[in-house]
Amino acid sequence: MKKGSLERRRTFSVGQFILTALMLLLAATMLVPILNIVANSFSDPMKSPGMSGLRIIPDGFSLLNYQIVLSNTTILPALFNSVKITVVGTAINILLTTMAAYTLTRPKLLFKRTIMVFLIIMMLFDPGTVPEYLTIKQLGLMGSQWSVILVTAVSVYYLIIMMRYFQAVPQEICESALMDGAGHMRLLFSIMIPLAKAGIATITMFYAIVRWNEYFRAGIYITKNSQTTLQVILRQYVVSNDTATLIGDKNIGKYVNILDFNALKNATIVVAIVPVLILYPFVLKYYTKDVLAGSVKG
Amino acid sequence: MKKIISLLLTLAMLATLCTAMAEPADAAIGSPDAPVTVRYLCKDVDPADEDIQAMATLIEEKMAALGQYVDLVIMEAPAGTYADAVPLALSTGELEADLVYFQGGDETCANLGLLENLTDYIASSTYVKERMQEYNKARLANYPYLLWLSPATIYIPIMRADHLEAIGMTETLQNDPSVENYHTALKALVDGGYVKYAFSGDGSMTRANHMFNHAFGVTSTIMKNDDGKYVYYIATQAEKDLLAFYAQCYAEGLIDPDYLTSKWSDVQKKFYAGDLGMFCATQGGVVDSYCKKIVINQGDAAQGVVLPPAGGESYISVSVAKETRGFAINADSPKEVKEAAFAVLDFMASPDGRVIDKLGLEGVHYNVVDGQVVLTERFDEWWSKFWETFDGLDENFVDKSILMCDQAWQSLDMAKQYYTEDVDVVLPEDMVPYYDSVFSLFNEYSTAIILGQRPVDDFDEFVQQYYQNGGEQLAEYLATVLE
Repeated sequence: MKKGSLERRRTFSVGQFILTALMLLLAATMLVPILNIVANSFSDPMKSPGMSGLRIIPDGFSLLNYQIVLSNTTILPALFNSVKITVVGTAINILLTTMAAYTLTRPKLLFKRTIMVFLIIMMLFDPGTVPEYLTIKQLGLMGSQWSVILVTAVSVYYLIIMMRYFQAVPQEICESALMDGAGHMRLLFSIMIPLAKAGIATITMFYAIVRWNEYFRAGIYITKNSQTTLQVILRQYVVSNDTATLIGDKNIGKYVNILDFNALKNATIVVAIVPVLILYPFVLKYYTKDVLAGSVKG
Repeated sequence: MKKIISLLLTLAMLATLCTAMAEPADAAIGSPDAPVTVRYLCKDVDPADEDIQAMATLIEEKMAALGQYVDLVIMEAPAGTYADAVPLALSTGELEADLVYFQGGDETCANLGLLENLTDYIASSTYVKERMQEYNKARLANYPYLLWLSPATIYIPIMRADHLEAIGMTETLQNDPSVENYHTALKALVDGGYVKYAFSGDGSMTRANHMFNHAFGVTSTIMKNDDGKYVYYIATQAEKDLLAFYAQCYAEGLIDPDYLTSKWSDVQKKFYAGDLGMFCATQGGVVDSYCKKIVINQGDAAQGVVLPPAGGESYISVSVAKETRGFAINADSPKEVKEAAFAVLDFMASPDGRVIDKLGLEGVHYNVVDGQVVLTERFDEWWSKFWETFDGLDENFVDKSILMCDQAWQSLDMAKQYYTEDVDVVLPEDMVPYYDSVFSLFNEYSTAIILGQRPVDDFDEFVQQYYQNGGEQLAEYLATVLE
């Protein structure tokens, strides 16, 4: 008899094999186009026009596309602006949403029902672009990044999600904190928010994605190239095919007969998605943690 | 006494009459101490660029020498796609420019009364009038808000010299460009394995139409059918014949099956890779660029050959409905500013202006050696900030072969040689839905016919639906305008 453990022979069924193969195929359908874009962007411009859509290894090697893209005076500032708007905007979103959710979950709040009905009506009935535009104009926010940040400061949908998380916190915890002399701000920041971390993480991700993808409002309200977002610039270069502006005056004569415009656009796409690809794994780990600590004793 | 007074009054009246009949003194623009500020906005013209600032200063100096004192202020374009952002910014008052280049979206501004009618300015101009072609004049008559001194956009067919040599069709296509000969040549290229496909498209057969339309009888956008009604070309027998030709080509494997989903960059990619036999590019600078690039990609033997239209009569009829791009003057600008803005446009159409526009800055983009222009290394960084036309550029001063390749100049000459004016109108807003409806239906039927999903005879079914979906209303409207 063997000492200690029993070894179990690992078996791999046909079903698992088929499932694994299907999952790999599914993963390939998502990965191959991205890898093809990356490969195409790093390829020699003389050879990249002939590259197949399935090739994931560069044909030749050249950094010319990235040289052109990174020398463009609008892309990196737009990337920075998008990061700025996302970080600042999301911070404002979380602050206001958690404060509103806390207030609306207080049991003794007067006119709570009326306020909730009002908010839900606002959520369901969008007044449209024109009233919003006129409001932004009258507030003097035209051309400012604050026009994009403040307009979507609180989403009622995410507010309701946050309220549910706060409602899941046992009332006894709040009462005991209040009895111990904690004020509302202390209760919110020291007790409620730590206990609702999962919910906050969830809506942070939702808000951040909305902020990062902001295109329409940025396109209307932000008028200067130095202030605009990455999505506006991406649309101009990748969707509207404005390659002349992408290449720029100083480069167009030298490189117009050499460049593969498709590969150039692919380089623009890679530059745009790199920050998201870098940050996402760090953000993802927060969603694997469950931080609702049991604090109620007895 | 009465006689003297009467005589004096008569003399006074005569003097007044003579004064009124006298030629008005040339209206000076501004003064050396108070030049008129003209705010200029154009796509990809960066006010922070030193060369642009130098250009503005040079224009001011040259105009001042003519007694026209302007302060040309270059403005930064609003963020985003130019064609979307500029009309929006202008119509909301966020953009305060006097001289604006449009590349789409101008009709909205014109309908809001934001664009100045240029008719009178052009009538009293010196050089703009000279540079205008017949189609410019016709377009201005229909839509007097945009002006664009440029060759008309015609897609000229280009094939490779080595390919034509290999199939022995070089002389044939130049001298007898019949549809049959083109078909024979394109089929020979594909069957001989020289290329994968004869030609392609960027979502449609529009570029191929530029060379085949007239050969099949599609002579204008609006035509009269057999019962005397005005119809758009899409509902004519001629268009049916053209679609039948494309369907035959598709069935024979001559047309790239990806043409429907391809973008222009994809088509270019295939031509440079040697997969396409024929390529249609805008005459002039674009032909120049493509001819140079194909040589870089495929070698010297792959020189581009510019070809005449099928049938040898005309390339596609040139639309005179309106300019699709060009310069407009802000109607809200003060009168003297509008006059100064047009004076800038007129100066840029003058010989001096053409030199600045086409050659750039002396000492930077070109030098003058023994009275002849020699381009510098930085010449490739320069492009025209006002007019695309080469007309007015003194050929004794600059040898045109240094500006573009021979094929590009040839394409400009052929576009003029094989030119026909189109019959088209600008539709009012209430007619646009009918237009959209019939063209949408046409796209559906024509695509299915070319791909072989429908027989060619289904075109007759389309024609019936054309009339049911707005064709009758369009015919009535077109009759009132065209007759």
